[in-house]
Amino acid sequence: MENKPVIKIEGALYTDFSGIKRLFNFYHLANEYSNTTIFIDFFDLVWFDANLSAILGAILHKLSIENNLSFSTDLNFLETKFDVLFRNGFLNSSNVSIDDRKSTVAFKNFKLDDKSGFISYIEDDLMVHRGLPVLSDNQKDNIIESLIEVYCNIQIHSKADYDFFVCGQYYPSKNILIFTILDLGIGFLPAIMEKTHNKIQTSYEAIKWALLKKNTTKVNCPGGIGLYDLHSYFLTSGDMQIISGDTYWSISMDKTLMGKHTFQNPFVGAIINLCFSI
Amino acid sequence: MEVTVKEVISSHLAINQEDGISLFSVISSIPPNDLIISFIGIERISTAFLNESVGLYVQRYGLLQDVNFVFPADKSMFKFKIQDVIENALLGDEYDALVDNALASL
Repeated sequence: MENKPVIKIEGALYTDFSGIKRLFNFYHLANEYSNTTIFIDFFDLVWFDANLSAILGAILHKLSIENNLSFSTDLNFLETKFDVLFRNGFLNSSNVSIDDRKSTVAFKNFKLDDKSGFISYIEDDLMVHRGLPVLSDNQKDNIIESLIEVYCNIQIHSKADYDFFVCGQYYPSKNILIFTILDLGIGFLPAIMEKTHNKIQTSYEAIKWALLKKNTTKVNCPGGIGLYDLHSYFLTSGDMQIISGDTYWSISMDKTLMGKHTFQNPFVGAIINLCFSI
Repeated sequence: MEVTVKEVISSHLAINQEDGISLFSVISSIPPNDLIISFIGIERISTAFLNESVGLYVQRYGLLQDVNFVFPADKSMFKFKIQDVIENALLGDEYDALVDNALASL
């Protein structure tokens, strides 16, 4: 019998630089293979922030398309230890299907042109979740409009025909809900570099540029009012992370001397993590 | 002439660039003093949509007045979004400089 390649995802994966770096490393290890089935070994996994399902799902999607890879794992083990991955719809099982704890915001992937599907998801799954802070109608509307702007940027600038991915998770013990959205496109830098006539040269500079109000989306202009408004909201409540190119940036990192982290082995596209704090 | 966005794009979501292009193709030959754009029945709008429609229109014809728009009663945000898009479309980099100067003076 043919031996399947085995790649481990182990340790504790939180929504931070270290957790995301491990997922990127998994991608680069798997990317060495093609036309085969990889067994993902979760046996030494001790924690997995369920919203990271969006990133893992995107990685598997890209590898399956580009490298003709398929994946297997020990579903019985995951059902026992990480049933949240079934409750949020990332994996399927007849044994676990209902999110009776109401802690998940479903894992989904959308086609780039599925505006109705995405907006229904934001309005009916995310914005009504019990893990969100109390928001005025105006604040809710602002967040929805901002996420629509983010979606438009994905649609216009990702320059890839891949789906984009979303997932959220409420962590009652920490009083936070983290929502993850990512695409598999070219990331922030190329379009912003072009727009600024090479004034912006790094992914870090591109992220900072896209957060400024003046860099709202114009005709043929990347960036987005969505990021400015989200940044404004999360400056005073919770946190926001943006990962694009080699850069990990967050509002909380921005307040430190370091300012950012750098990935030695980056992934593609852009990831936005919104951390709503009650 | 009143142009109803919902009828032009056959959707209550005025989001996509393509929808913006569709609207622009309808309004582009109507002069401003004869144009009313109705957003009645629209639930959501995006900057990308507005750039390709209203943004390109004002680049061709210049500033539009409030009377050129009809908004749903519960969507006061639409007006501000359109104002931003019009300012950006008309002033471009000049607008950036104005914002830079305003920020610098804070």
